[in-house]
Amino acid sequence: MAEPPNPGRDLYLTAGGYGCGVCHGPVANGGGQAGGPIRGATREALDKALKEQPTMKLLVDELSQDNIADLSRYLELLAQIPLVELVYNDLGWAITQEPVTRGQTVQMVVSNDSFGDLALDLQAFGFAPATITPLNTLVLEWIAEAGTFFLPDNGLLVVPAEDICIH
Amino acid sequence: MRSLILALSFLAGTVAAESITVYKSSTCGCCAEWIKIMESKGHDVEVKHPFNLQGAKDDLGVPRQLRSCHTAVINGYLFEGHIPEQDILRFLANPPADAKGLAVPGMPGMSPGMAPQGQAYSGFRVIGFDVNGKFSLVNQY
Repeated sequence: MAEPPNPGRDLYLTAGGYGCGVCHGPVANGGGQAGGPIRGATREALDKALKEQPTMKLLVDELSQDNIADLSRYLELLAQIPLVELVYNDLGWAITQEPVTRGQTVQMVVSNDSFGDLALDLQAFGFAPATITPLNTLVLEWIAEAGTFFLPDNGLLVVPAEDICIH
Repeated sequence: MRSLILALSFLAGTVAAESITVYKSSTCGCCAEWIKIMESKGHDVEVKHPFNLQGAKDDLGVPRQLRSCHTAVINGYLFEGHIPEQDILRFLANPPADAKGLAVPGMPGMSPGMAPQGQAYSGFRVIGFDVNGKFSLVNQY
């Protein structure tokens, strides 16, 4: 799998019994929740939140210094992984995408915000077709290949064939 | 006679009060805020802190995609997350056939227990779920 091993990720999904994702989204992407996106949050920011933010303060006793270091490493690692978010509802798609370079691992977060099944043809990305059940989210990790990929609702993901070097 | 009337009016005043069991993590502050709101409305809340909260939610049957922090159980129905009291009372007054409960998934910032006191609830949906795993839109704020 594309995903590098990281103990911080497991902790991210379980800390406090509910996991960081409840407030910050499945891959620290925010996901419309109260805590907002925290991809790339530094150790300093995490320590500050644990000291000052009312909800975070309650987690202090749950997390060892090693746990905090692991979480921080995971969040910093996520900053290097471009995020493509696709949210489907009855009105159509809302897409946000970060720039992608060939060979990079990309996280594609596809949320079905409707009450019907959402069938997706993911052939262009090398994945088998998938159906996302109502209100569910699919996180795909894709090693970006060069090309132009059409996303629903006129979204366009362009991955350049070569890195452009300026000497 | 006077005491009977008083007793009747007391009963009438508490007829909507429910006995609620809430499963939450001991580290959850916003759960506690939601509980405070329910208690202030006259409901009786018993709090449980299971060692494995997600396992407890699995056992109760809370769909994964609807999960929030705390799970409340009232009259055998499940109420997941920051649901406004009025939606819970409306549901309990007339539970749909096959209904299992209601959920406000995740942690919307302007929901009860999350929003600053006195501010209107907004930006979230109340989702119904049933024994067949079907979801429906119950209310929108």
